[in-house]
Amino acid sequence: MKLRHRETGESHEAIIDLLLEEDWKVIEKSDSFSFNWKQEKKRTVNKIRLKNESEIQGLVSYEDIPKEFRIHLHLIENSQQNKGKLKKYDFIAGCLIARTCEIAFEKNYNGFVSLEPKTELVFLYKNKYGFEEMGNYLFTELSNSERLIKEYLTYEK
Amino acid sequence: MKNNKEVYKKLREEYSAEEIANFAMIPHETTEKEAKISKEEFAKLRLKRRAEMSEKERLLSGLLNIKYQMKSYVDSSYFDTSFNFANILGSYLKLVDRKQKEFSEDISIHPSRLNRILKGKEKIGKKLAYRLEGHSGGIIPAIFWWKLMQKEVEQEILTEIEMKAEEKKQVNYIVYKTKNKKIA
Repeated sequence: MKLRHRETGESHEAIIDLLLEEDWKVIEKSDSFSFNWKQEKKRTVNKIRLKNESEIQGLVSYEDIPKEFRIHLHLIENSQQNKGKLKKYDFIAGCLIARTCEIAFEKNYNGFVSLEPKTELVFLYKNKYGFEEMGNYLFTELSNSERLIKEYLTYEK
Repeated sequence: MKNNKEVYKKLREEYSAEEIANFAMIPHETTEKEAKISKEEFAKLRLKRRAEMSEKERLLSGLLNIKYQMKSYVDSSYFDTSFNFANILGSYLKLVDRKQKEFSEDISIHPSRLNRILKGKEKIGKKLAYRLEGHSGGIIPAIFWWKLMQKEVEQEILTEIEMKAEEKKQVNYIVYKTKNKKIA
């Protein structure tokens, strides 16, 4: 997967992996993230970073719910330098969402990923990522999840 | 420490909702009771949706399940003897509900060759990887089949000590001889 440097337009190879104990110490000390990530410790938390760098560019927390054959996305946040009009890299949140879709296929959940977002943002997530509504939740599955993987993780060219 | 609602309120002072949607995915804050009702309702809807998937959707889901399991395995650094080419191709045949004879006709190879491949006695070449990609309608790319096969070959090279020794006997001239056997 690749992140695009907004100013230069160059693509940089990126990696998503599990957040390590030492990462928690860095997150807690820094002001790169606005949300209280400490309370996400009870869930699975992944980070995205450039291939040869340790700096965390974004975080995602999710829950595996096998009984309902789904991955539930709880929180995503880009680091401070990747927010707003002057962000450093593009595609961070998209890559993090796409990776959860991939996990949902690996686990035979039909690529089903759910989230219960803030009401004000529902339309935007539907529009940007193709999520659909189900009850009070949003979800993606099958073709749309595969589309997100192809768009953001681009294994096949 | 601020809760999500307070953080969001603060972010909204600086960014538009659209900008926030581009850099964050934020959960809806509700009371415990409301969250429980929502969750239970959603669980029912989700299971209903899964139960009502069409045959075509099930097939797509199964193909993508095989594809991403393959990807996860070939990207990993471990070897799993049960996750071999023959077994995965066998799972594929089961998923697409094709008998060996039908499948060999589908991809224009001799049934005995397919049988050897399914028994792990023959390796595939690039051409067959392309045919497998074609058979799945492009859902499982040739490169995934190829990498799966290559991972198996890698494992064989690392573990086939006897064959390696046997084949070395066929070498009639060695360009560089070392006293240190560890290098050889």
